[in-house]
Amino acid sequence: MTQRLSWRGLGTPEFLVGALLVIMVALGLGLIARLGQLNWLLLYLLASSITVILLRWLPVEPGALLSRRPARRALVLLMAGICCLLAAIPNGLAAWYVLPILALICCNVLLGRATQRVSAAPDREVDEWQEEMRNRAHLVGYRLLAIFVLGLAGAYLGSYITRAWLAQSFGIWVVVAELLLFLPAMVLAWEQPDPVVEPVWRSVRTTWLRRAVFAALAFELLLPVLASLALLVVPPQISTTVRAASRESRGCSYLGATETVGWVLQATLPISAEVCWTGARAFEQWGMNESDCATAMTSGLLAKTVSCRRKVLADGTLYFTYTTRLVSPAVPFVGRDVPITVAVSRTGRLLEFP
Amino acid sequence: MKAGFAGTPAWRREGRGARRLLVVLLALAWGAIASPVPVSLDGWGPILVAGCLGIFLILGHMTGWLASPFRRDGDEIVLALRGLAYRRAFRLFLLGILLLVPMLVVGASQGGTTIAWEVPDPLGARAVAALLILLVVLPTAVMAWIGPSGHFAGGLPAKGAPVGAVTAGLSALVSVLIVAWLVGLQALPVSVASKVTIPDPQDAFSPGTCGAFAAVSQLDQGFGPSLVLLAQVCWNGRSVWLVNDPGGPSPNPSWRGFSNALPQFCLRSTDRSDFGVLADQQCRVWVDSSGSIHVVMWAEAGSGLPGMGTRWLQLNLVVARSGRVLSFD
Repeated sequence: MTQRLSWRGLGTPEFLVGALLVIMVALGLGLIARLGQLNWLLLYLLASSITVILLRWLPVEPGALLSRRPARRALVLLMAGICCLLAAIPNGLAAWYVLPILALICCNVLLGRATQRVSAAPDREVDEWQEEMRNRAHLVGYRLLAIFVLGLAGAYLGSYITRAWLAQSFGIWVVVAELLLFLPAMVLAWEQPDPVVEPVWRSVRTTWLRRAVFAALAFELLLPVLASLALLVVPPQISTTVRAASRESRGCSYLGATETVGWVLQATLPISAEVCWTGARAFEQWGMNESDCATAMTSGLLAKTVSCRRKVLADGTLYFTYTTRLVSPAVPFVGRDVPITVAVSRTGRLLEFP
Repeated sequence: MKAGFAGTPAWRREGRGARRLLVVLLALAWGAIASPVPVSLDGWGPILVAGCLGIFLILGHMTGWLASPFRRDGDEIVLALRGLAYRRAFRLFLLGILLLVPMLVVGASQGGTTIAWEVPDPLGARAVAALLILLVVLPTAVMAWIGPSGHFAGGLPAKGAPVGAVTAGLSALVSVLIVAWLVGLQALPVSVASKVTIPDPQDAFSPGTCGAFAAVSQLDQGFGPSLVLLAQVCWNGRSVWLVNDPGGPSPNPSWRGFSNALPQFCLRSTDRSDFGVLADQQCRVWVDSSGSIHVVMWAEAGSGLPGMGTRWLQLNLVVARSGRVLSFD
């Protein structure tokens, strides 16, 4: 049987929002391919926000596992554990925040499924019992929040050490945001009783939009990890410029190069210098000093210069090298040392160059 | 059992208009505490806080404290109202925090502070007070706002303490807090925090090494007047001087005209007198015979209420010409 295309469906909110999602992903991918200077974090946050809005818009059923109270309570305990971990991470270990935050996002998605997002649903979409349950969840949640905020106020009043901890801990503010946004749902998941009769879950219709939203969510969760791993495997892109620079009575060359490392999370390590030679020795005119070792341009990576050296060897060769350690903030321990080396012989021959 | 409304005037029991007016006043008083403008409340903080708590007590009494933890039961309508009040209060608390964030940012920029100058104080006593007031008053304020006219008039059947007793108990608690605050101003030890940043990241021109010195001396852990010392001191081994001090060397005399743009020592606007008053503030700078610079700042601190005692707050900074910090407390 042939199904006829209905043009009416093109005007529905589902289609329009889905189309917007597709356009955004296409644009995002296009920009990934074309623009190196894009503010990735902004784009990533924008895409994530739209995904979250779409995700909340999709209907959900808890399914067999998450409908059980022990499973829901285990999920809430896991979330509480992640919040404690986030609050305990010392300042300066930025990389350690990412995985717990990603785990918390996954837990929030599961929490939404487990509670069918009743706690934040519009009034018209909840029945009397659900209304009562979520009202109680907000009441209990508000009191728990009050205890937490009083604890924070106690930390503020306690001493300058606890005050400094409040000022410097990024994790505690993530926990505050989590509690403000999800605490009623957590209480609801904790308190909601098991279904009296084994429910027969009607499976939510798997539409292309549903698939697209979950695909986008998976992509957004995996992107930081993939981009971090790409730092290790993607070969660097090198662009070089060498041209003569006329100086009185001696040969000089301008040496310019950029080495771009990584994918999405990227760093561009430049060298821009002028080198001259007399036949007896080569020497730096400009661009090979300590300040030139810390000029990495990064997009989402943390860069640190670990070595910077310039010397003229016994045979008159000018040797300049610096190494930059690039670290991903998304995954701990993923990093790469990238050396940039230039060696020019006393006759002006390039012995080493990116 | 009637819940203790006997003797309450009719306008307080029945009028939603009066309740809403009080809620608006409460919101205005809270806004004054949380707002970054003016930078300093000049001692009006305790009065605004007391005003908020006073309105909260009146609203609580008018609504029979139905949104408080002291009353747990009620008829179906009361339960629905209480649930709705807490649900809205939760969202309004989130909104309040979202409002506080830009206020903190604006406040920090108006105060002219930078990372080099900040003594660890992420929120400030004013924001903490605003946060706590919000937390305490919101359910009751929402209940007062959404409760229909005449709804609380009949003395709703509810278990728990009678309304009058709750009001009296909470009024006593607020009074105790005010007394504790006043006693704390007189008796609690002065807390001092300092931060030294060497080299001073704001300095690019001085003919020597410079450091940024920031200290704050507080009463009542910040819920009292705070004396703040911000100073830029430079040294070159032979002498030590204060930036913006006319006696100190300058790399370029033409820059002297622009020196007011830099953070200045003894700047009145850096004081935080939200919860209390600083009076008779003075500062003095001198170089002793060994070449060390002494920077001293002091002021008289009190609650601002007539008849209450005052205390002296003092901050000292001594830096040798070698750059060694001999004293900073």
